[in-house]
Amino acid sequence: MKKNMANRAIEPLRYRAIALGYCVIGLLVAVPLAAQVVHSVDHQQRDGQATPTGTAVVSGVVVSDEATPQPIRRAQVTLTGSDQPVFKTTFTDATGRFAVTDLPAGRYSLAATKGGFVRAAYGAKRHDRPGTPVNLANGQQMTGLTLRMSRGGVIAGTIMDETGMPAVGAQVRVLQYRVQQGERVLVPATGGNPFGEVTDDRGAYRMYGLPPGEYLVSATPRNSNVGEIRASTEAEIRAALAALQQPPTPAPPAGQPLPPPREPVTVGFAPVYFPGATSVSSAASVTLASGEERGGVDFSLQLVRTAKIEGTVIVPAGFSPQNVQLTMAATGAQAAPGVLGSTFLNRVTPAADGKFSYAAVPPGQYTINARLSANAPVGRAGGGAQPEVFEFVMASGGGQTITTGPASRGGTAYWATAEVTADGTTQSNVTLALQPGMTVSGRLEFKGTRLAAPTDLTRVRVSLSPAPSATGFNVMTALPGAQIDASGRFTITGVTPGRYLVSGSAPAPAGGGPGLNWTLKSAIIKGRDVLDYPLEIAPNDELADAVLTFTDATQNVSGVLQDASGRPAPDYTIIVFAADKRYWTPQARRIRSTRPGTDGRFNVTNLPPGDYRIAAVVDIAQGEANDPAFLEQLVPASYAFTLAEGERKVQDLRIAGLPNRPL
Amino acid sequence: MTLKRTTRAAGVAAIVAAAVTVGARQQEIRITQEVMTTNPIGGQGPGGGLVPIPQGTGLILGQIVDAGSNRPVPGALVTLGLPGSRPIRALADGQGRFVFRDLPKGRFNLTATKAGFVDGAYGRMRPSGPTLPFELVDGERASGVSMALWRHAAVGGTVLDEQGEPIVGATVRVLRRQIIGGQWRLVPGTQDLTDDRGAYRIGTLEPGEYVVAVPMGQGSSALDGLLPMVDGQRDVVVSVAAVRMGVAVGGDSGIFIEGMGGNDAAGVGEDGKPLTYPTTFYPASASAARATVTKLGSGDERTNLDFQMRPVRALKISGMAVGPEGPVANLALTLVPVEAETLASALDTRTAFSNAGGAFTFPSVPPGQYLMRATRTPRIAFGAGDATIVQQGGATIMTRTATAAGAPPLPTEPTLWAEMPVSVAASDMTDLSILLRPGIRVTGIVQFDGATARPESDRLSSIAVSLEPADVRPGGPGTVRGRVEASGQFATMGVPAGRYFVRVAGAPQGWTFRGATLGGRDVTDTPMEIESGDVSGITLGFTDRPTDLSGHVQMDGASTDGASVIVFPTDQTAWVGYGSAARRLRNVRADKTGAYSVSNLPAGEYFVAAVADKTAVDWQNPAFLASLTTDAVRVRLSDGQRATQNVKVGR
Repeated sequence: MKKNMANRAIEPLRYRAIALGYCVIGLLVAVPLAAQVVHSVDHQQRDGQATPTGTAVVSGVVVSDEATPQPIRRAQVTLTGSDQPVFKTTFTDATGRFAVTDLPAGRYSLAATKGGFVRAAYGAKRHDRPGTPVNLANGQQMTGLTLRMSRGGVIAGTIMDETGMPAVGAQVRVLQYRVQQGERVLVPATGGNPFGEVTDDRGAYRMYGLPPGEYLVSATPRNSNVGEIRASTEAEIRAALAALQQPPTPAPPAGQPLPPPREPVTVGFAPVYFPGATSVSSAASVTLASGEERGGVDFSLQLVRTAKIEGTVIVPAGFSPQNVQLTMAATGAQAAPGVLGSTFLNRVTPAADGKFSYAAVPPGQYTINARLSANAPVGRAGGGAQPEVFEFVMASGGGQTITTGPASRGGTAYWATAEVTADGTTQSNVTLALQPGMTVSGRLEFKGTRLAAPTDLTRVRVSLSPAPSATGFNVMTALPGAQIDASGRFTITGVTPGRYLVSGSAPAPAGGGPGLNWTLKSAIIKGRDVLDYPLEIAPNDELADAVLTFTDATQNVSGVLQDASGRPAPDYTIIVFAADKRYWTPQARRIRSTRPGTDGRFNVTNLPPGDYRIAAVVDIAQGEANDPAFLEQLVPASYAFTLAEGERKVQDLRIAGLPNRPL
Repeated sequence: MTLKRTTRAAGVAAIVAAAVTVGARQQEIRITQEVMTTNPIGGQGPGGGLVPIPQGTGLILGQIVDAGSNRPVPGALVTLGLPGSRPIRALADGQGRFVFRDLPKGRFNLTATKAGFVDGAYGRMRPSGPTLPFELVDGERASGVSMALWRHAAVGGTVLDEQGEPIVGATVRVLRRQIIGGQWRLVPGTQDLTDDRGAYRIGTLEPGEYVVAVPMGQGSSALDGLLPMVDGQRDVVVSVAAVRMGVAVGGDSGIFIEGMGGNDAAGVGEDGKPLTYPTTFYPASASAARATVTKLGSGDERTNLDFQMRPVRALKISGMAVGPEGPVANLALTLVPVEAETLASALDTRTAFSNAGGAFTFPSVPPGQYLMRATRTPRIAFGAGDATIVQQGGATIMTRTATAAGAPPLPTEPTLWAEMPVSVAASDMTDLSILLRPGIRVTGIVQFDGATARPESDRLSSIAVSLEPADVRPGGPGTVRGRVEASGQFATMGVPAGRYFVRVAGAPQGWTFRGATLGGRDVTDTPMEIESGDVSGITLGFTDRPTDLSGHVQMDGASTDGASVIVFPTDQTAWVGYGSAARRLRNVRADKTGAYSVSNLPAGEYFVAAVADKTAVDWQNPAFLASLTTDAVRVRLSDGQRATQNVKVGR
């Protein structure tokens, strides 16, 4: 099962079968209890920040997940408020017991950590699932909670360099596949050190605290970013030895050119994946059982032939090529999507004549992006410092957006893109001719149920931001906000191709009351609501007649999940999803999942109005709720409801039973 | 949190801004700082960049060897540099051989690195020893160029708690015993974190003498480097960094971390009060002075340096930070053990941050004597630079780079500082009040003595003037910068009261810094006392005729290969207390003909001694200098003199 999960994106048929299996095991039929519809403003909005303290207590014990559970000493237990700023931490005693006191009523997440162990969230089905929120009433004494922790697994080994000596100071990372934004990406493993480990003087590394799973191991050599390196090949050495036998030949007098030198063989160090692959697609995975210690994950670094990539940028009249920002990134099979550190990313500044050069490019496919801001300072020639090495580091999680550009206000931006292949030989004919960016324009509408439309529309803010993407990355010029005139017409200029999200805010009128605010309800561009589907902007697109509608109404659905006997049923996950399949997209705002609290209560806020279905499942993997195949299976076991504009729906649910339980 | 810097070799000043925002409290954050350099005086080709090394017909063929065994080291990275040009790099082959061809004549820098070894360089006879330029004449083919690398030494062991269980993720740090300013100091070096077995290993040590420690608290070095550099987003960075480090932010600022955090947490005692592990020096000392010193040669390995930690009561220290204009928010405060004053930099300081109302809390402090320090450095105004924003997960990392022709203008706001002894005994301390005072500024003029044309006034801002504290002050502001205006006047940022050296780096082309004086007295090699009130009337003297000393090393009937020359004042009191820059104490290698030269010495009387360079480890040790005086030659240098002095290798 685990293996199949990791292969999901490349084997869709099998994936479907798994999703089905998952559903049959995990799905429960939820039937509606008395549904009430409440049209009212939430009066529980807290505006004044009260001191977060109280008299409620949470206590319990942290034990190992062995057959005979053993108490875990000195585990750090943390209680974090999800609706108020409370963050408390304590340690278990020698018998594994803990107590957190002086808590105000509220909803909390509870988790335990200990070095070498896998983080345990209270009530979580697995290490990578959300836990059950602890819902505390005023003065409630919630005692006897049990958190089970498992010892983390270990991957250890030795990295040798290309000469067979220990590779000292190499950066080792343990990676795993995850589904993010509907895409399968490599991310650093949870547990252990997400930034990886550096090999010691024996080339040894040890990554610990790993949850069970399937992992890839990568190593990046210490010298991976030093620029061009000439190889001391046998031919070079022989030629040098032969030259030593000749009498000295001083350089010819001025005016007489020297013969052009032979091109040296240049080499570099690319990241290597266990067992020795330079591309992630040929990496082998290491399967780790719970608490397993896997030694001997040894491999060697390799040299690759690097290339020089040269070209020219062509800028519109009146601009200096030196103000063009060039960003190059790996886009081919050698890149590990989602892992910033593995993506070769480099920035150079072209010379005054537009020529630019990337040295020491490892083999693979790359995209070079050129961006130029209209108000880039002209005539800074000679004063600009060039970053020699532009290195990005890895942060946790996938999707990356790299935005470059002047920090100042924007203007019409110019752009160009080129795809290049590096194969160990110099490529010198890349041309990037910059062309103007696109324009998005349209009008604003205000549909208030209680608020009057703002009088000064120029204070409304509308902006585009890069849509998160799990694979690859966006490079775009820092975007200016929209220009808005008094009639509510807005214009955003200088937009470069890419996928965007639209956001907007409008000032709430004074005295409008708590919870009354303008939010963007829809953004219709070319007949599609870009709040539901990211806006794709292609070269030469002119996107006029957009309509952005603001509303002061918000919607939510809340309730209690009960088991067949009417008790709170916290051990399930609630999924709310749009009835219309067209909304079943990876980042849909109309698909949400949540864990009910210890008292069975759940609340899904900020849903757009529309037709929905609600269901309860035993367990759900990360990203699964956005999978259309999964939702399809869920439809028969779900309950339909409609959220009208401004509606606060209360919908209690009772678990009816397990249909066709096969196990 | 990790901090990473990418620095370019050439340049005068560095400007950086890095900012971090996070969506979620538990996000992992990493800040990359891009250190950008300004265009050095005189420029180095279009765009301030470096030009390729010109083409010629010269050749260098050489080999990298292990200094211990004299066997070849395969795969070393060899770098050839020519001042003003972009260096070229070659990877040595399986037999340690490397080639550079098509070279012009010139004085090259030649260095070699290989992971697992101390860096080598042409002419270097001992780790970190002086080097020689590699001279190539027109069309010369040089072969047999050998450079030695020294194998690193390693220490390792385990860190166990009071019950014998491994402590996971504990910081273990080495401190190297070194002569700094003529005195033995323990200089904090590399650190490692213990793994799930409690094991650590630090295997990249130069040969030398070391003390190993498990420091309490969060190593604050990363933050120390960050704070002065961050511009507008400092407040955000401070809170985020504080949360990541497990430090309390104020008392009611929204996030409060009760009790403990970080790797020093030792659970709670019988009475329910928090415990902490105090800084422990190997084997089990609370004081660096009583720690065991481990002597390591090249390639040595000591893997039994085990620790058993003993918890102590952790007390809560809290109070308010108040400046001339009321409470000071988002201020980093450090608590430095008095003992740490003998270390060259902070090893076990604790850091807390004041909240919006100026309140701060150190949540778990072991009993002891401390100094509480705080410095509020005003923000540096950056020009419009390029912004790079990387969004990932809930974290956004923004790196902003700015470029300028010289040092950025000084902020007009004053630096605020405070220092207060704190004695932590048996109970929590609340209601401490730490009062910040404005720093003291130092001002003066630049003066050019010589026939050479005075530099253009717009070049003057490239002179990097700074104040270096003469006394070790962990948690203090360190060296602070100043700026020379086009008028020739200069001022520094404010500094706390104390003793300071006036330092200058970078001089306009054709000029050499001779020294700073106050009322005719030198304040570059001997510190000046700043008590209260701004100091004015400093003169930064530049000359176009530097004082030089050169000559030959002679040895009766033997080769002078591997010799070096040590020049030091005849006045013994100048052998200590000169800070980090030893202008009057110099060690240079004699080349293969025995020739040596020392440039830009301050005027005065000196001893000149020649030694086998391998014996000159810790040559700044006053005891070593004293042993050289019997065979040394005395020479008196006056301003602008170009003196010649031959010297024989002593016995």
